[in-house]
Amino acid sequence: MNMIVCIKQVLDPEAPLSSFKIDPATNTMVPVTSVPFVISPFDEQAVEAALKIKDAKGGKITVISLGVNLLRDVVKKPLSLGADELILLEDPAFIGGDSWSTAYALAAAIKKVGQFDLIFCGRQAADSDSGQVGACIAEILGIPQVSVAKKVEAIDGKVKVDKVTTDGYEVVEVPTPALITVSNELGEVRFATFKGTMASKKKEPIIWKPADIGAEPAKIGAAGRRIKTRKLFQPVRDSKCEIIGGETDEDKAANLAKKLVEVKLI
Amino acid sequence: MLWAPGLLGGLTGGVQGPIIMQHGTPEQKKEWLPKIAAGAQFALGYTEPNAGTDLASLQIRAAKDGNDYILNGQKMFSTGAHNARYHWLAARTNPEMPKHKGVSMIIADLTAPGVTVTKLTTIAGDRTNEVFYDNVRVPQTNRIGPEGEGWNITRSALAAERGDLGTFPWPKILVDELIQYAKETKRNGKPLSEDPQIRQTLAQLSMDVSVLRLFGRRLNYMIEKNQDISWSAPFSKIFESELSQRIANQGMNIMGLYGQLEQGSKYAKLKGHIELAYLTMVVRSFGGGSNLRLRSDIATRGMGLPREPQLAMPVKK
Amino acid sequence: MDFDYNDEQKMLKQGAREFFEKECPKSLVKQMMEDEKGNPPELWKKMSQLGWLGLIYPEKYGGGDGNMIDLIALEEEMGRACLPGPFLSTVLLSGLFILHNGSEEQKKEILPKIAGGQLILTLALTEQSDSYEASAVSVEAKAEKDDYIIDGTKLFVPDAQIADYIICIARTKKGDKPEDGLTAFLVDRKTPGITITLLKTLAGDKLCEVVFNKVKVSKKNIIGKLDQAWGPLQQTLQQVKIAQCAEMVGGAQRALELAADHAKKRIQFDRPIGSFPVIHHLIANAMMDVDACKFLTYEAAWKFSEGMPCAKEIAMAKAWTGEAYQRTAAMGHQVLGGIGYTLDGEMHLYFRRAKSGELTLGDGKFHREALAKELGM
Ligand SMILES: Cc1cc2nc3c(=O)[nH]c(=O)nc-3n(C[C@H](O)[C@H](O)[C@H](O)COP(=O)(O)OP(=O)(O)OC[C@H]3O[C@@H](n4cnc5c(N)ncnc54)[C@H](O)[C@@H]3O)c2cc1C
Ligand SMILES: Cc1cc2nc3c(=O)[nH]c(=O)nc-3n(C[C@H](O)[C@H](O)[C@H](O)COP(=O)(O)OP(=O)(O)OC[C@H]3O[C@@H](n4cnc5c(N)ncnc54)[C@H](O)[C@@H]3O)c2cc1C
Repeated sequence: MNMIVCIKQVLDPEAPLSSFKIDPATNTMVPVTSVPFVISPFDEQAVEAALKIKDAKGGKITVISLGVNLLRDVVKKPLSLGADELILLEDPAFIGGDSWSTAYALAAAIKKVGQFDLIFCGRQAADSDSGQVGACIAEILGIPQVSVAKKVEAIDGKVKVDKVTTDGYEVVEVPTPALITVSNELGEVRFATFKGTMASKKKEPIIWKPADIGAEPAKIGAAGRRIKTRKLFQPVRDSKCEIIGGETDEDKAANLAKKLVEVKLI
Repeated sequence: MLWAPGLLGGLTGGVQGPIIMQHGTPEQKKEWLPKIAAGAQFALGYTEPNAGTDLASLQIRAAKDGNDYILNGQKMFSTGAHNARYHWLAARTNPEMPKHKGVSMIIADLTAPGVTVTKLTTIAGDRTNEVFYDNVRVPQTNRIGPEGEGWNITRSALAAERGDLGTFPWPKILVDELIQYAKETKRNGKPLSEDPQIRQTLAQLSMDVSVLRLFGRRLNYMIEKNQDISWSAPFSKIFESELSQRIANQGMNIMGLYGQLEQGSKYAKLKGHIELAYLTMVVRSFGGGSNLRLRSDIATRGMGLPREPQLAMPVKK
Repeated sequence: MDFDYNDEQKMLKQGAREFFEKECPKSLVKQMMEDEKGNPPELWKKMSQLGWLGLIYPEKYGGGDGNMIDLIALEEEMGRACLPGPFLSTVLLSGLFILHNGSEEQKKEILPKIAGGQLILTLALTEQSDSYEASAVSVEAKAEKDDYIIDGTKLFVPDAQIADYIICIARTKKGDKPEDGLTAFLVDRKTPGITITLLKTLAGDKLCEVVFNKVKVSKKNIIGKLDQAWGPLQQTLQQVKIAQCAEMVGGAQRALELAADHAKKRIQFDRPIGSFPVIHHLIANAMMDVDACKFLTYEAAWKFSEGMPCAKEIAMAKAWTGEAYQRTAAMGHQVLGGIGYTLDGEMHLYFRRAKSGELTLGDGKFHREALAKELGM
């Protein structure tokens, strides 16, 4: 089984909201230095989905990441967990794009990799939250796509996917090659062993520039943008705290449920 | 370095060359760099009677007049101004602008008519100066960098100087001297170095010297890696200045009555270094950026603590 | 020397942080302070599976072939997490002593089991005289045919209550110097004559009294050379101190962060208390203090891993780090005010561990004295 996983380096989404600022003049985020970079959490789950298949059936995992200033101690993490190869589309020309131009570049890189049965993406990136890149890649490559997976199993030439729905999950099957976007319901991701971490030292990332993947300059990064950001702003949220009382814990829970129904939260 | 006195080395810090390289016009580079290379001496003219730690409050006025500025006002603690030819001045070119914005860097000639240099003597016996400007003419071509950019230029110069203080050699020299002294000097028939208290003190001081060395090396490392040093540069400055004072003070205790003998006097030990350091090192706690203020900078920049709120109504000077 | 970890060490450190945040929450830490065993078995097993228990051992003994810098990267995170359990006593004190001094057979037998999480060991050195000097060792081992009979009481022995084996440092000969005539015995805790009493401690870590009442140990269980344990033991202790300093660095760093976070959020006098210059000063002093701990520790670790002499550096790191950690956590309590004084908080965990770390393996005074010797005084 040849697998490809697309991962994105993002600012830690767990960082307090107050660390992020927006420049209203340019509609962009003000660069911050105090927040560390991480792999977008859904993408970590995508890596885990691939690793589970590799555990069960063997195979090769190639990880691709697009961006600039990709920190090696961040993007090499999948290698420490058992991925085989890391390809970085690292060039200023790749950035400033939208979902489509990002997918265009990733798809071009995937074509260059050539052999693949499964492509994994996170269901959405933790920073932009668009959730489009996976679908766009599948479209460009002309392969089926299953979104929000919580379980992925490979069964001779097909893949069985448990796909999250609002009140449960659906089980679907797709032929390979296919693209799967993975959700947090997949469950816990593994931690790197010491040996795995140290072994990743020997796996140097491969760096591809636009010309290496035959990308048309007008279609990648900022030049390839089809979406225009009209306004970027931080919503102001008011919060109130209310303590829900009750004689016993059961009462308290029941009162809480009542309250939540009342304010139409459930 | 801002000061010349005894232990603290020669005149001025050589900040001018790099700043002119970075901010000067081609003509200015042609004019000043050869002079600096030939050893032209500059005194630093930042501090004024009402502008110390709060340097941006400086008032010396540089008013435009044709192609010149006319300088009026006073500088304080201009070390070396009685020997130097030039004064590296932070002066107010626009009093209407907010205080950080109306300042420019100007090179003045200390031998020009209208300049008066008077002596101030420090507790360590060194000379520094007050400099008075009474309608002194300076060509506008002597302004380094754009008008109103003086504050930013000064700040980067001061930051460089603060980091530089980390390589200050005296703490190590003095501690090594004290250790040697303790080994060689007997009190009540026993070497001082066998006194448990003195062993503890000297071990602690030599640890402190190591920390200072590591702070300095880390700073260089961060500069090499292009990291933000705005909060870590003062580590060296604060630590060094306070360590120097500790060394002098505890050195005195180790040396006992001999510690107070001045350089050159009969029975003086270690060339009177400790006595001299006791007085000289005082200036380093508030000069070159006050340690008290720098600590706030460290906490706000390095750890993200909020700044102290500004007074709604500034106090009249 | 680098002032930063390399990429792999950063990954190790970050991974450890995430692992401990999930697997070793402060609620578990507090529970373990009360628990008699003080070592959650699941956590120990998982750490073993990640290869952390054997990190510093060679591959042929089931280890990960890691170096001292790898180890301190991990130790920093253990300190941050306030990790309970016998890492120091088992993996470091005992394991390293065996690694450097044991016979091939002993190493093959024991080290893979430590790395695999199956064996807990501890080292019994200190006694009632409360000193890390050789002269303080009074527990005796007398030869009797193929055995030795150990008699006496060891005190402040870490994790003995759960240990499978105790490495007991005992006097086998009265030499000219107190350093001569000391031997290390690997003693099965189940041997008749051993009584272990758990002591209640400030940090809730497990220190024990271990009474050896005519305990019989085979000659084969001597680790290293007869009568010559002291020098090798000191070498192991030196290495362990570096790791212990790194653990304290991690704790001090976290205590500082907790204080700064609180200062940003807590409003009094209509503004965050973190905007008062007095609080700036507390935080700035602690930042310098903690950085000093880091760099002294990194330098010691780096010199050690390069095989350079580093007695001075270790003495400095241990003297400074123990005291600075304590100062930092005390500062943290000042900034947190009343809320930090409740058991629900976390600062007290650091405040407790700072002191116990400072006292363990020699305090500031002890190491300044060691440094004075190194300086030729
Ligand atoms: C020997 C000597 C040589 C010198 N050489 C030069 C020179 O060559 N060129 C030059 O320009 N200057 C020179 N100086 C001046 C030196 O830079 C100033 O003394 C220094 O900037 C402090 O200013 P000040 O003396 O006016 O003290 P002030 O600013 O009045 O400070 C007094 C005290 O208040 C504290 N303080 C002030 N503001 C704050 C704050 N916001 N937060 C906390 N604490 C605060 C300070 O830390 C200090 O402890 C020299 C000084 C001396 C003594
Ligand atoms: C065991 C215990 C028993 C207690 N018993 C009682 C009791 O019986 N009755 C009762 O009413 N209260 C009691 N208290 C509360 C106690 O009085 C408060 O803890 C104390 O007033 C400090 O307030 P705080 O804890 O809210 O800290 P904060 O006010 O939040 O202070 C936190 C830190 O900020 C500093 N800080 C705050 N403002 C400034 C400022 N303007 N300038 C400089 N630094 C500042 C403080 O010095 C402190 O270091 C008790 C507390 C404890 C822990």
